[in-house]
Amino acid sequence: MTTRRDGSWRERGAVLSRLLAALLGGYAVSALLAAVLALHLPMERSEAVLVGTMLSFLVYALAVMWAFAARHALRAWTGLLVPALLLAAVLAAPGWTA
Amino acid sequence: MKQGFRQSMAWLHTWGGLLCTWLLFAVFFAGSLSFYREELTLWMQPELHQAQRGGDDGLAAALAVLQQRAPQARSWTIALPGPRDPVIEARWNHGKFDRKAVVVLDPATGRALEPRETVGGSFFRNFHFSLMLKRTGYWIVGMATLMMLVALITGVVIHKKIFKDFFTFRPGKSKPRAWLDVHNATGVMALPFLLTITYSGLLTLAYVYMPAGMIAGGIDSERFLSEISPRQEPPEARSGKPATLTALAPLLEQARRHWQGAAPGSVTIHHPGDIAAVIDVARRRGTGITARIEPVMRFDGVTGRLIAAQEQSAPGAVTYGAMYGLHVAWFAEPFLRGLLFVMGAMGCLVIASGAVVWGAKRREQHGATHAAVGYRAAESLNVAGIAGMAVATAVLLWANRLLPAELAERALAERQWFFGAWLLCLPHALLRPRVAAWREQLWLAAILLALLPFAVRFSGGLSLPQALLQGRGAVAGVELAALAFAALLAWAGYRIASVKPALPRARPARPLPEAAA
Repeated sequence: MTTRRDGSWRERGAVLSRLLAALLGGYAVSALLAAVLALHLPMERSEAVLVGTMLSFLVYALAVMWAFAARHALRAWTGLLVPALLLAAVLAAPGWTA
Repeated sequence: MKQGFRQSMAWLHTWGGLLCTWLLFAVFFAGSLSFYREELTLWMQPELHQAQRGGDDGLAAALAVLQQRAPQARSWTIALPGPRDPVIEARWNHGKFDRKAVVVLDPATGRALEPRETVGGSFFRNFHFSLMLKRTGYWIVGMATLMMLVALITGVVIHKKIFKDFFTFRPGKSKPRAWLDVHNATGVMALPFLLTITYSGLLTLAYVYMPAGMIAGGIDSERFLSEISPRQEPPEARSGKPATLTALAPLLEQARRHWQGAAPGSVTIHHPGDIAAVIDVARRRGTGITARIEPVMRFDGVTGRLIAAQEQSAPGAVTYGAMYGLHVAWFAEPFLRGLLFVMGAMGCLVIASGAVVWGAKRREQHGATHAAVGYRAAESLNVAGIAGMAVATAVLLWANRLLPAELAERALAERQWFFGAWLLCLPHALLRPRVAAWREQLWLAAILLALLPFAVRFSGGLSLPQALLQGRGAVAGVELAALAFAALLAWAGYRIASVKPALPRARPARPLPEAAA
């Protein structure tokens, strides 16, 4: 149901790739952000968990938009994986837990 | 061709929205009805229609029932009557949850009532967030809700003239244009509500969708909701020494004073009849905007001495409680509740009109005559998903009245009628021509709803005139709403029959975002 001119398999594959980037990449970024904020926000732990969790859904929505706004599918992936790796690094860094 | 940000957002809005249309419509439809969950439940239990508040609100009778039925229970819970719930409920607990361990009483007379088994208004609430598929359903609804949030944000992005379009309505213009105006006007008008309800909806099940923060923070996500509520320590073990329970009424009065006049909603008595008995009095939900964090007062069950008054005041928990509260709207007084229902209905209209715009635009591009099979299928899903939902709801309400009150597995049978009717709407929509399918399903729902006030003949309970005369707003309201919706659906069916098909017109299709790369 893609358009007539652009309905090639390459186009469809790219859309699918973006969709996966949006759903999986977006989830990875937002879940990691929730975890990092839960551990590192300067407030009581249970409070930090709530703030991080509440913010993560907004980030997820923006990540989905990014996945389809990026100039091409590869860029969509890198734009999500780089922040995800950074967040994962913060999460894994030793001696950083508040 | 260089593709702009707005164009790719328009693509995402269109196709992402379309993918979730029918699901989102069902979620918004059932969610809107859930604003009247308690009224629907009462209507669906004609045996409770006559119940009335008065005297001690049945407190003594409830205690007598519990003493007689479950003297050895681990705990008793009494749900007090409130403005939307005219009965008092006495539950007991022997350690694990038992749906049948409850007696419903008429507060004024203390008489035990025997309401029929029914899915009640809770059906719509549960369907709304689980599709009756448990955890799988949570995730399906969650993905659709995320898409709704994305559709709202992208909708704002692609909308250059958001204020101008607010005042634009061109019913005389070609159909996609008029439907687009409906889509835009309702979307803009209801935008604050839609954003709030969508975002808060995601948060109500945050512990399912996004447990990462809770795992990192060492909070058991399965127990998340009780973690944020002002939880009392579990009471000490039963001592085995018998003692008489203190009078409840003074404790309720003390709690009411402590909460500056806000009414208690439930009383839980741990270890009744034991010297270690403890009484928890919880404030009625919906006293403020927040939900899930109602304050609790704990008393000694024998002396009546106050042990602790717990309140949740941590800002994050209160914010979460407020988000949750905004979603479930337990706080809403009748006028605000009505407004929320209208907003929910507008949400349905935004979603439905979006689907219609899509269909009309495709017909305009390709011409009505050689519409592809895919478009035809999507249009049939529109009919079954939108008009079929109204048919299924009307059938459920009728099943509630017609199925014998003593039927075993009665609630299950009601559900089967709902889903059976809904399922039948799909082949009907596929087999009939597009306009005829819309009209027939809308009119069927209209007829069923218009006749609903007569269904009281088969079930007992208050008839519409009786309910009006006795001022039973909940019972009368459900039937008046049914009549209003019958009129609305009949009008919609009539309008759909009278519109002419749009002329086919060539227009370049919107390219995929990839086309620019």
